[in-house]
Amino acid sequence: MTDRGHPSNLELFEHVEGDLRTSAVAEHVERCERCAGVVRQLELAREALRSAPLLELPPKRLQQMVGELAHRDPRAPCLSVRRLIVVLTPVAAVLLAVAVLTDGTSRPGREERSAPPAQTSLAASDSAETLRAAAPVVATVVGPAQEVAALLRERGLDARVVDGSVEVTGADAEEVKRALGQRPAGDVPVTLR
Amino acid sequence: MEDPDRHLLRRARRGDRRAFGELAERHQQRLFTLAARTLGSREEAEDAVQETLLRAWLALPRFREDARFSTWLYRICVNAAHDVRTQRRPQPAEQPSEPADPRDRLAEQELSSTLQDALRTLDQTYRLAVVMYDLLGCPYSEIAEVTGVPEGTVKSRIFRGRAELARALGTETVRQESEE
Repeated sequence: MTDRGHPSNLELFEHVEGDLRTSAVAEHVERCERCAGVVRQLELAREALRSAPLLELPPKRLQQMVGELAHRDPRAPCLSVRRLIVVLTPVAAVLLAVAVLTDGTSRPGREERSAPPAQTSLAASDSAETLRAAAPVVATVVGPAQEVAALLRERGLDARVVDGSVEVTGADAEEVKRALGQRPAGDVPVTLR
Repeated sequence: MEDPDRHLLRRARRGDRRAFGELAERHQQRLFTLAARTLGSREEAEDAVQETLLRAWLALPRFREDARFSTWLYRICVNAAHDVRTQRRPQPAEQPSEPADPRDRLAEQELSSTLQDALRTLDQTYRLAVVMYDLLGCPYSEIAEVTGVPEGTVKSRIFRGRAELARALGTETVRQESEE
């Protein structure tokens, strides 16, 4: 008990949790409205927390995570897949742009064409667009794209919106079509990555 | 009391990825809940869990089994969630409230219950304490081991966490002890 005759916060907490061996705090709480109020708040907060459900990873997501461990060397530095994507995507885009540009100038007998500097970045973005456009389209459904992506995620698929289309990772066409169900045809492409 | 993960753990330590996958399956719900409720975002929680499993896999040879495997995993998860949180890009004030990635908006909606909104207002140390104790049912000793503080401090943090939560949930103000 504190000097003012009230239990300490720790004692009130232990009383709520049933950790106390003596009844002194319980008897005090019965006759002290102030401490009874504290106890009620602790119990209400506990009830709110304990009524919350445990959360689940999407089923395929865990499989993906464990699957990726096969590629990890214990001596390599730790990098998350997301960080790798952030680092490698611009590198891949630049390499592809270089490949496209050199392909246009390397064939014998063709007139030399050199793209002005402004077109290089366009070529890079066009190449990125080409990459994206080349991804297989499983279906084209009614939107909005965010709603389609949310529906697929609810059904356990890894889906995200990219430039107005929905990109699904780690699934095949059949799984995506099953997840889309009877969603009507529309203008939102759903692609596989 | 014997660690229920002991047999799978020994196989995993010999490089059996399937055994590690089974361990991951056993603990994924609690790890994901721990990460999601402390970070407030499913997407960030997935990153944290992925990082947790990766770090655990790589560090398995060094795990001495002087703690329960679950405790060790929680500790890794808490650290991974901390790293995810510190890597968040700060949002400029003039940006619209809707996140740029539509997935984040939907992810926030999934966790935008009254409780999660209230949890977001808690100090991080108190939030972790109530999530581990009240949501995951971890004993004081395990929370103490994961957070590196004495059990008395764990209880104090749970008390303060619940008190702040009650306040955030709109109930009466909890008495503040001056000596605390």
